Amino acid sequence: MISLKDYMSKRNRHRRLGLVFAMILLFLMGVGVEFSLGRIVAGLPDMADLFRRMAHPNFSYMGEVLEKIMETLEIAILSSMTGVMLAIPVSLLTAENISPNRYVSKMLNGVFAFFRTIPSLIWAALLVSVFSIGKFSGTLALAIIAFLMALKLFREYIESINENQLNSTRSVGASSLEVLRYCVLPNMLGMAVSVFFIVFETNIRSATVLGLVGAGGIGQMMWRDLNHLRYDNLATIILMLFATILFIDLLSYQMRKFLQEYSPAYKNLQHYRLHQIFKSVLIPALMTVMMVGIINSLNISLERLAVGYGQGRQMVLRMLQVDFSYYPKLLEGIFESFLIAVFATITGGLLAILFSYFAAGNLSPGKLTSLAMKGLINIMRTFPPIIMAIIFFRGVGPGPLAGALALSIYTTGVLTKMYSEVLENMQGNVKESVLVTGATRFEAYRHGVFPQTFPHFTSLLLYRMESNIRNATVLGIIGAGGIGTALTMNINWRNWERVGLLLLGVSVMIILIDRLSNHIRQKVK
Amino acid sequence: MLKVENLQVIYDNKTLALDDVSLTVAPGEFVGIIGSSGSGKSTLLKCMNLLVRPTRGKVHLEERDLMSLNSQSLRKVRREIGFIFQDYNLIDRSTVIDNVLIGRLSYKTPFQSLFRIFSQEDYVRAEKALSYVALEEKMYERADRLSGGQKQRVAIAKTLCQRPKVMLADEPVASLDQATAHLIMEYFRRANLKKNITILINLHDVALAKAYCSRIVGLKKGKVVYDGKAGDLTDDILKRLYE
Repeated sequence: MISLKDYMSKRNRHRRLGLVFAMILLFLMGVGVEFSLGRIVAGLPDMADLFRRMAHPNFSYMGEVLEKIMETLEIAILSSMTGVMLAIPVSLLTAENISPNRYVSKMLNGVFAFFRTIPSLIWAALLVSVFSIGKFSGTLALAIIAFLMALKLFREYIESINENQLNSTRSVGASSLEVLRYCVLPNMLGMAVSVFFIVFETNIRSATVLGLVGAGGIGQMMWRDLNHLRYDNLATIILMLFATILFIDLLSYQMRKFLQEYSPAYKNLQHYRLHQIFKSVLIPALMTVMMVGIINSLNISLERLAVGYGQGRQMVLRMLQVDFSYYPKLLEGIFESFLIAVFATITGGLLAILFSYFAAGNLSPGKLTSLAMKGLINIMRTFPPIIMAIIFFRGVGPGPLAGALALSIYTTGVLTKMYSEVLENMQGNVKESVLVTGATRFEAYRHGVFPQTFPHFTSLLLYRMESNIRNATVLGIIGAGGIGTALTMNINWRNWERVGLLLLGVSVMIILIDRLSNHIRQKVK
Repeated sequence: MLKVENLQVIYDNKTLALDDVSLTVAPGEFVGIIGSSGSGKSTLLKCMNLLVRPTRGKVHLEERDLMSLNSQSLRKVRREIGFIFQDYNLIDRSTVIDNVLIGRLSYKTPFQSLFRIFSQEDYVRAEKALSYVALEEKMYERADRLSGGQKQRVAIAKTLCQRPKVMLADEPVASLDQATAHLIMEYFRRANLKKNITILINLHDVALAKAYCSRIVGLKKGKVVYDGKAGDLTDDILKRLYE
């Protein structure tokens, strides 16, 4: 038992130390990403000019844009479908509780964990050099991303099925195949549609930037207009993209909600049986049709596949002969990416704490404030950070600052959205219990709601950190700092041995950060 | 008909869950197994259909040695042993009747089960089982829409579809309120009396065990410390059992 005085002084000391530590960290990161208010202020007129010129969208351009948006959508839909469908059977192999062989599942999980650290744009860049420029490479890259994402979601779901649930099917005398068919699959098929939409939401955003590396979609057009300084055209593209993404997010939300509550009504046993037979014929048939459709629409000749296979093999073989002498460039790039990510996470985190108060419907001072805040947040998180970086690029010039600012804005948007949802779904009367002491709403948030949900917030923040690290590795593609610059250059020059080293470095860093963040998450709980 | 001999179960090479347990159950008995948590009740039940493989000992159902069976014959035996869990373990997104039909799986060929081919007879059986637990009007509801008591009744219907000779129930009423618990216990009693199904049931509620079971087995730290008529269970024995 310590005395009250000790407790108070200790607590104060802790708080001051914590604050100083955060400040120093932020300052160091700021130095690292070459943060300078002067440059931002000096860049403001340029950025304002950019926005002014963007204020007059070229509406006659819409037809062309629509065509490319359709292509982008096609890439996103095809790749998401392919990925999710492939992930279902593979997840049965990788989930450790039902896998036929523990070692196979461990090995597969290791390989996939490595693949998961490679961002979609890098996949696309690699595939473009194998299968040449065009949407096939982009679709394949996103299909890989979709597959890995869906696989993780499915695997986590299967591993969350408790042993007794499996046992209850085993105890009727079912074989292990029947356990899969009747205990695991029914829930998974329903889940597959939601997973598809989750993956789709990510992929539609990634698909808009694939063009930066020549892998099809609207990105190519955007890049061209930007370089030709056609800001009126750019504005048209951005507006239409915004509308498209907003529409898809809404559709996805509605679909997922509908599925969660879907249960049709049946008249009698006969009707029900018919329905079931219909379903068990229809679902496999539908899947087959979709598969055939996908393969046809990709319109890829065997010849090209063969050439691609040869080149791909060459590439992978050379990558495996890692060129370790290239490490100074690797360390420099990785460190910069790391700084960008940490800077963005801290800035985004601090802003999100504040913004969430205004955005959460149950805390916000007014309905209108909450609505306005939510609108702002949605704009901030609609575009992939790399597009935002292009805008900052015009203002503050090349280098990590543009990337750091862009990523900060994106992080603020996503984190505020997620955290304000946590606040809105909070159970109990935490807020009320502080309000009844005569405190203001903000005090109730600061001293009641926030400490209560702090573990949740940290967990979200750490997830953002993980995602930011991945994002920070591709910002370099447009020259906004980090390892991406070295990566794209070496991919373009086909220095596969060096690419091998860079990818390895990125992977190791990401896996380490994920581990660390997992560890912290457990601690905070 | 059900006989276990010298059962020993050690989890992870260190935790001793069952220590030399032997038990013989005659056809038509209604046995309650009591004991504090961690006494090995669940493990004992799960050994009886080999959901848990004992480290040592034997399990017999009607003269068949379960430990020596291959997996196909084991599945045939499991069909005769219904198992009910505390947490129901229904497939949430499937309808009630689909959950009940799972009880018919062991009567299907691999081809039939892969393509989900159930006959008219299967459906009629499932429907009958559901009406036995008075849930036929919930037949097409999704399982996650039901209350806890209703879920447990569906689980009983599923088990009845197997046409079992024995029913093992692991704390089937522990998460239910008093009234519902009695309702569920009534279903066990009726299955025992009308269908002559042998019942072994884990209960932590001694009053419930005394009210429904004809024979009571008391477990403590993996050992049988009482085995006798429900009526002979004295406060003294109980005190020793739970101390």
